[in-house]
Amino acid sequence: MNNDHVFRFHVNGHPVEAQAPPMQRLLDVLRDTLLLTGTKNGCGRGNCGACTVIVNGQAVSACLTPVVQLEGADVQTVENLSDHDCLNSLQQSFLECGGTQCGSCTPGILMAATAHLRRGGGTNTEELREMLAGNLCRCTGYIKIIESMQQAAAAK
Amino acid sequence: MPTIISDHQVFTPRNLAEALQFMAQHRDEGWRPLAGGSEVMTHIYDNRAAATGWINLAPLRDQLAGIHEDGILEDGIQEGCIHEGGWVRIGALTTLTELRRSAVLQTICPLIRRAAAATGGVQRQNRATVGGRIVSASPAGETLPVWLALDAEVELSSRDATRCVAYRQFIQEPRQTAIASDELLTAIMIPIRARPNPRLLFRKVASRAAGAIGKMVFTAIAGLDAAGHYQDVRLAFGGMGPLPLRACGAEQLAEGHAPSDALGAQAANQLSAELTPVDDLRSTADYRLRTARNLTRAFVAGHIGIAGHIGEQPS
Repeated sequence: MNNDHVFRFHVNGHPVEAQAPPMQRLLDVLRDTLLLTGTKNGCGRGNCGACTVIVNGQAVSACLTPVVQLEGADVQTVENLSDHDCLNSLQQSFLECGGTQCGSCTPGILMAATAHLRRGGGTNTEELREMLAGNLCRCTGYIKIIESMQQAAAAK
Repeated sequence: MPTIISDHQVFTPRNLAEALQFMAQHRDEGWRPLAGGSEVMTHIYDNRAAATGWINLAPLRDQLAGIHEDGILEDGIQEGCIHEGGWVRIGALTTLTELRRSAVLQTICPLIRRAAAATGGVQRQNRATVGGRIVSASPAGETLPVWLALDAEVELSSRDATRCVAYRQFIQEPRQTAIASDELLTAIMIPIRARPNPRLLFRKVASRAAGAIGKMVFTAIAGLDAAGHYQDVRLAFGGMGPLPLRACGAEQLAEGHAPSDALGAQAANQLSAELTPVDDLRSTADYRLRTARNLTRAFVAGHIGIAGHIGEQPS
């Protein structure tokens, strides 16, 4: 059964028209239709944070977001952080502080941190740990991730 | 069998009236509301969705999100008291993030903010809604025991009528509510009740502070009258079984008495007679009962809990 509809919204500043069934996950639209594979498919149940993207300024799990609810939305993914090959200050800090580790959780953490820092969220260790509660790193190395975020915040 | 996502149909109304009209016309066809999607999407991908037809409530946010005080707050009541005489109305599409950031709720009842903050991570809190959590009625839902403890009522709207039902009556069976197939949950109403010297507690016991589903959730509210005796005690639990519940026997036992270690012990013993927790993959009946007893004993004895006007709870 073909149940595809056309949904219009913005991804990384560009208008897109995605043809998909209405309950298709934003995660699948990004990865399979738009070929933006920086957003990772982790648990698919909203628990791990690997698919975190920013929708209308808020960090959300792309696996919990049906495309039908994105009409007119502004979606930002990890691909939007760097300026071509030039990393932004948050990404550069992750590189310098060893915050990337194996890399699976990194895109989601970068996007969660970006949303948090943009809205003026606190940057002490306790505040950053609470903000990161929805992002799992199975390398178990949150300390370097927190340090990376703090270095980026201090540089601003 | 893998989920076939193209089987799922969506109707997107332009406003509340259009949604209710659609629900009245299609009441027996199995359509269900889609709020923030945080439960529905996981159920679809686990092949246990309640429906294949969804009413997309996203355009109704203007009408159904937000927190308002409807009642008249009396002046001159001692700071920190929960004021008498009105209601706080929380729109069903209010997100958990909005609960966390609400200045009104922080003043009236900081327990709500604590419960919202304990539900998943930021990514889920930004999408999950108050109404969605109530209607999906997850056994371990963190906010649900708080609605019980606050004597909340739910507002149910259909094309032809609006009714209010006590939350306690609304939840009757596991993962089911008293909502009719043509009704939409449009708000939850919190009565603003005066309790002298209120003490509050919210505690989620889980393998991690966030993200993990709780082994159990405990929330308590009590006032202390001028003589130092308990007044309007509420002890509510989540995760103990299929439904959130109140320990009414232990509440009555504490009512009218001064906090003491002996009273705490009596309340804890009463719980053993009242609660029959479940064994499941997250915890055991024994652990749940012991934890409930310990927290109840400490709260009733007066050792844990915060004064009503303070936002933060000691860890």
